[in-house]
Formats: sequence, structure tokens, C-alpha cells
Amino acid sequence: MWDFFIVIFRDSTSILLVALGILIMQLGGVINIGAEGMMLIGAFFGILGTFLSGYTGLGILIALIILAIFGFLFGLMTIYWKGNQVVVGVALNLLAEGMTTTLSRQIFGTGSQSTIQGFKPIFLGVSVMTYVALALVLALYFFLYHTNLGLRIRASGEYPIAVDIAGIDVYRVQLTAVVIGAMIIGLGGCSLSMAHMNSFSELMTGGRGYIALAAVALGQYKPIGVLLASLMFGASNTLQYHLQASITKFPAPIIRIIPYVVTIIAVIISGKNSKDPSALGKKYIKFS
Amino acid sequence: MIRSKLIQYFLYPFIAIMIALLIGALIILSGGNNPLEAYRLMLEGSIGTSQTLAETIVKTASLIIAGASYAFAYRCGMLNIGIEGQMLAGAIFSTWIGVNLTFLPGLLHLFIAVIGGILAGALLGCFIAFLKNRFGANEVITTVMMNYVMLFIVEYLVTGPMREAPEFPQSARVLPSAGFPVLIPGTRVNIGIVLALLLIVLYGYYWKNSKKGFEMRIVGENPTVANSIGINVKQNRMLAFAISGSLGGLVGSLEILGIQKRLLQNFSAGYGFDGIAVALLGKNSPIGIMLSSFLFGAMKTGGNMVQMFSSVPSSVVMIIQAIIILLMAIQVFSKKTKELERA
Repeated sequence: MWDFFIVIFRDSTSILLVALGILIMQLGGVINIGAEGMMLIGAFFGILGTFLSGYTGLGILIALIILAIFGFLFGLMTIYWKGNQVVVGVALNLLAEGMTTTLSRQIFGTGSQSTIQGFKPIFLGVSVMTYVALALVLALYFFLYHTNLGLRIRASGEYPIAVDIAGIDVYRVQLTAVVIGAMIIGLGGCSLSMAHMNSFSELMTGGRGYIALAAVALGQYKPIGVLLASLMFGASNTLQYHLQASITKFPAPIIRIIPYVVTIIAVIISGKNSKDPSALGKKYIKFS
Repeated sequence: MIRSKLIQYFLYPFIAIMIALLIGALIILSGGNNPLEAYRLMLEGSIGTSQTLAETIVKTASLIIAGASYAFAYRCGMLNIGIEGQMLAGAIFSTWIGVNLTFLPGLLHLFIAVIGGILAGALLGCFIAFLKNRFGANEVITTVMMNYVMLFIVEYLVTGPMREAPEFPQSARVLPSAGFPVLIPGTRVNIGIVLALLLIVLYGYYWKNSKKGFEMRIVGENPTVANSIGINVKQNRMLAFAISGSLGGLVGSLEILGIQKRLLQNFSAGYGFDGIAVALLGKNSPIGIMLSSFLFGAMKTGGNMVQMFSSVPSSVVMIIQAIIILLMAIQVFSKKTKELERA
């Protein structure tokens, strides 16, 4: 039984981290369809950084810096230059797919993967990343509900005019949320490629970024809710692996559909009483 | 007036394409390859010879329909990221009809096979719209998830029930009677391109001149206003997504019956996502979709050629496409950003 929980936590970690990143962005009023791409970029640069520098920590740092740059660009394009947030997100996914595929083929060659010694399980069979993710849930709760900036971020997503009238730069608050969020998502990518798999393979995220989006909605935009929703998705993934291994008679592709169908059901459930921030996805134009 | 239109429709896309090519060149350069050589290969491999030009035209046909599919939902205020899935659904049905309904004569067989593909796509589109209307489910997430679901269903079918021989994960070949007639002998150019051009003219007419198109445009720009003047928002959304989905299904039919002739595991060339790029670059106008489809078709064909004859991977094309979409989406050059748009 304990083993089963460990596996669930292992499978949920990357989704949880990505979902937390999306949470902070979307609370700030910016829809992030590009989470899948950001995650892929994080997964790739974490491995590449480790490969080049020889240190896991340095690899993660490099991934976070790259993600901060991408987050900044994403924020610039959506908040300052008023690009359609969903369209920019979709383009970012395409860019990430093209970029990581091109670079990984140029650096590691086709087919061959770079195997990296990632975070080995250190405590009760779970990698460090899982504890980082769980700590982030608490940290984010504190940040969003008990700090000034957290309040400003939430207000910008809910009612940006009020923030503007209070003399606070809405754009800058949103940009901050986007950059922080992108970095957390990048960490999620790192946890997938370095703690979960120990290597990068093309398109390895396999829709986890979108699943995390559903987890945020299902978790009703609360850090604890997001944690529970991510665990649920992790469990559906674990179930899928278990079924594939145990029921060999049943065709594997059909079993692999499970997490995606669970996501659709989750979107249906959370869509009915949606807790989306009121200004989510709306372009706000400042007074000044 | 005409001048500003000219700038908006030609100058901006042109600048966007140039910047994208420049960034692409830098990435090729960073991999230790000569970008000029790569672009020369791309040009030669896309429109250089009659054979490659034919390939480009084949791809253009699919792209036009995929672009129209995305634009159709977009103009009604929705995002159909699931063209890929609808395409797979269409491909499954077209293959099944093409392989199994052997008693149908000649053109009727083709006709039924195409209709089957279109209906499959439409059904999937209706399902997505139903989830949005009834439960408020975000169509971006549901369509993306359906893409994965359809991908695995195809994998299941070609390794299980529809598999022809145990050696290869692929279906049986569709009968010749269900194949798209070839237009230019010796190439793969089929009547698909005629169909695509016909559809894009219809598309233009629908949005410009028809009453229903006007209604849908209002729904797209402002659902609240549409509701208050007595337009049925949900019904229009359902219809728009059904048409968008059916066009997606048609791309699948065209791909199977015109080109691949059988269902394969990874037969899709990513037209579903290219359709988004094409519609954005073409600003949803019929002529724009046509021109950008040709451009992207050429890049796709050329990209394969580049990969074959140099060490530059074809995924470079994806980067160039993504940058074009980004530049078109932000309209950093344009002064008018007040254009009504929803996320």
C-alpha cells in the first residue's frame, strides 16, 4: 500500500509543479496554454545544462534562467503587446516542440538519448523534487494569501481596474506572476526529465502541460485543491501503468487513453462551477 | 484606405516571414550548418522541380482545408485545437469504408468514403461544442485531450482490429474505387486541390455574404450582444464547431484516400496544427489562407528535403512557423490594437 502511494507521488510531481506554475499565472489573469511548451523547454534545458556542466543543480539553474526568459517574452507578448493569450500559448508550444527537437537532434543525435544521473530517490523512495513540490504548495499558499504581492497578483486577475486605481502597475504585477509561474513550470519539466525519467526524449511531456491546466481548474484555484487534483491525475497515470502491466490481454493503447479521458471528465466537472478569475484571458489596458 | 489594407495584409506578413527565416537561420547556424545552403535546399526541394512542386500542391490542398477549419471556429469565437483529432477520426472512417464497402460502384464509393470522414469529424466537433455548451468545458483542453485519445485509438486499430498483416502496424489498402482521382498523371496531385479551392471560395462567400455567417460573426465578437438581440449563441457555436470538425475530418479523408491509401500509425504530418498557423498568417481571409497554405506547404516539402540532404532536422520549419504565428499574433507593428478579440 505504501509503495502504491510512493508511485502516485512520483507520477504526480511533475504535473503538480506545472499546475502550481499555471496557478500563479492564471490567478494573475493570464491564461497559459503554453504550459506544455514551457515544460518541454524546462525538461530539455535541465538535461542539457546537466550534460554541459556536469552538475545537476547547475542544470536546473540553467533551465530556470531559460524559462525566466521565455516567461518574460510570453508576458511581454500577451500583457504589453496584447497578443491573444491562447494563440501566443499555442505558438509557444509549437516553438518549444521545434526548438527542443532541433537542438536535441543537433546535440545528442537522432534516436540516441542522453542519460543523465538525475535526483536519485533519497527519502522514503521519493525524489527530492517531490518534497520541493510539496514545499512549494505551502510556500505558494503563504505567498498568495499572506503577502502584498500575492494579493496584488490575485487582484489583477480578478479586478485589474481596482489595482490600477490604487496606483499599482498592473502590467508589472502580471509580468512578475508570469515569470515566476514560468520558472515553476520549468522546474516541473526538470522533474519529469531528471527525477522521473533520467533522460530527455522528443515530446516527452505528452500532454502533461494540458493535464496540469485541467488540474488547476479542478483544484478550484487553491494550492491545496491543485495538490489534490494533481494527485488524482498522477493516480490515473499510475493506474494506467499498472493495468498495462497486469492485463496483457487488453490492448495497451486503449489503457493509455485513461489519463486523457479522466482529464476530459475533470474539465466537465470543474467547468460547471468554474472558479476562473474574472479577468482571466481578458486584455487589460491601463489608464496611464 | 487601400494602402493601409495592403500594409496590413502583405507587408506585416512579409516582415514576419523574413524575421522568422532570420531566426531560423541563426538556429541552423548554431547547429554548425550553413543556413543559406539549407534555405537553398528548401527552395529547390519545394518548388524547384515539377515533382517537388507537385508535392507542395498536394500539401497545399490539405493545409487550405485545415486552415479553413481553424478559421471557421475562430470567427465564431472558439478555438479548435483539435483538428488533428478530427482528422484522425475522418481518416479512420474513410479507411474503413474504403476497405470494407466493396460492393459500391466507382465514384459512389469515393463519395461515401469522403462523407464518412466528414461525418466523423463533424461528430467529434459536435461533441466538443456540446461539452462547452452544456458544462462550460474549455474547448482548448477538451480538443487537445481528444487529439491524444484519437491518436491512441488509431494505434489500437492498426495494431488490432484493422491490421492487415501481423508484420506491419497498418490497415489494408483502400480499394482503387475509393481513391481520389489523380489530376496530373505521374504525380500525387489529385482532385483534392480542386476541392480545397472550391471550399475556400465557399468559405469566403459564407462569411462575407450569408446571413448565417453574419450571425456567427456577432456571436464570435460578442456573445452577450448576440444573445440580447435574439441570436441563439449555443446553436451557432454547435454549428460552427460541427463545420470546423467536418473540415478537419475531410483533411483526414483526403490524406488517406488521396495520398497514403491506408491507415498508418503516424500518418499525420501535423496538418491540424499547421492549420492554425495558416489561418493566423492569412488573417482568416480566403485569399490569405490560400497563399499561406502554399507557403507552408512549400516549407513542409522543402523541410523534408533539407532533412534528407543535410544534417539540419526538418523540425527547424516548426520553429519558423511558430515565430511567424507569434509575430502575427502580437501585431507589434500595427497601431490598431483595439481590434475586438477574445481569448
